[in-house]
Amino acid sequence: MAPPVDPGELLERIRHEMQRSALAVRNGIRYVTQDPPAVGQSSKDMVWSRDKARLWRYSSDTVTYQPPVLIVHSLVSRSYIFDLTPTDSFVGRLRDAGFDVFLVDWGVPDEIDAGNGLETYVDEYLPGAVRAALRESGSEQVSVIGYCLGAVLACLFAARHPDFVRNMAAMATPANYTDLGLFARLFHDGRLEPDDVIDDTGNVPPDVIYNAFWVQKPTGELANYAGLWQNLWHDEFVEGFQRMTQWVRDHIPFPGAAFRQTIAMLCRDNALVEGTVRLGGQRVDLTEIRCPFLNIYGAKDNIVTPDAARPLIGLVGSDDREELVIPGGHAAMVTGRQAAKVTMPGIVDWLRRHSDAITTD
Amino acid sequence: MWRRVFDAVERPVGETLEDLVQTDGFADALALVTKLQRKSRRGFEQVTRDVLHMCNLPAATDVKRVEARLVHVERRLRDVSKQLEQPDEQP
Repeated sequence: MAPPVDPGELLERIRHEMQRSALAVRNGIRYVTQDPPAVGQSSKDMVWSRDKARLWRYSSDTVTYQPPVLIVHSLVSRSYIFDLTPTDSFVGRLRDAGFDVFLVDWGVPDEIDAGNGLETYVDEYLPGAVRAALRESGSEQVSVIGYCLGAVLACLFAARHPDFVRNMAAMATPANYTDLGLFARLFHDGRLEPDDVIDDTGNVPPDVIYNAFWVQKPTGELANYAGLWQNLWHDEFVEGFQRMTQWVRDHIPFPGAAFRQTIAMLCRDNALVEGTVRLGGQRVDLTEIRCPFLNIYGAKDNIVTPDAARPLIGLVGSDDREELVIPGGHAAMVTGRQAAKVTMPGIVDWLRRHSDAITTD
Repeated sequence: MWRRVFDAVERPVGETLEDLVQTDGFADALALVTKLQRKSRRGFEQVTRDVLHMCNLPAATDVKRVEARLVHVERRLRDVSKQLEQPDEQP
């Protein structure tokens, strides 16, 4: 026989459920009718630009370490992923830890940028951005943090221009392209040619990039919406969900020339692992990276798998090299609980150990 | 309650699909669909272009051709302005 129910407790439970239902209805209406919450709100100044590329410097009154930190993000995502909310901001956490933070924003490529090759980013935009960061900060070198394909660009830059780089941290870096799952099967094995996905603008359209990520976890979106339905009463959850959804869907075109090089050289020739990368007719040797090096990857990353990212640490010439494994996926490195509890403390600790504390006297 | 039922169904189905996505067969099928989509789009473009040209009207491809020329000019301008800027960029 079921135990008797306390009427007071029952009433309280009903009141609680009704309150949640009312909140869920309100949030549901807001979700459908209102624009997603603002992202990239941290105070910043543009200190350099070239074509569509911009360099942002995040405002800080408490810089206690040097050199400054330069963040290089991927070619297929927007830079706000490093500054999603005031309480969940990659750049904000670095800034609050005492670093002078710069971020290279590639902008949104169009037809004019279709001819941008990897060397455009490695030999033109990044040196220009770094020079500007050095000029603005009065420093002689930068610590570079690259993410995803941005980490590939950052590594190539560090190998090509080692004098600029004091420390290098690479997050979720696709180094070994034979272990990139479906992407490798499609392009490495020749099932698709780059021109099969490049559109009339000369770039890979954002929906192709979104679908390539979506197909890796076909029921992931459904599960996410189930989570939203369950937590629709929770304001913070709904706001976080909206921001994450915006990130996941908000890709930018991949410049065609850079994509062709990525497929021919990085993917089919596996040039990073084989040591055969050539940019602008010259060989780029990752063993030229001799500065302190941190390789970060997600144990559950299904986009840049651990097997694809792990070998990078063995390809650089640094004597001082460390590895940081995040018990999460691709996005968890930059945002959410894993970023707050594992990625950021790990990066901040490593950067502090390899930077100089600024003394005021 | 409903969430437990959802998870009980979603996880095994999701894992099966995720494994399927990583097979050569799926890669073959996806590549074929991608190529067919591209081919059908090109075919449709050709038909509509022929119809519009028959009526002496410009088609999207004509607009794209003009756009491509403008893009070419803009790229050249960008290159020239970079060459002019270069002396200022020396450290």
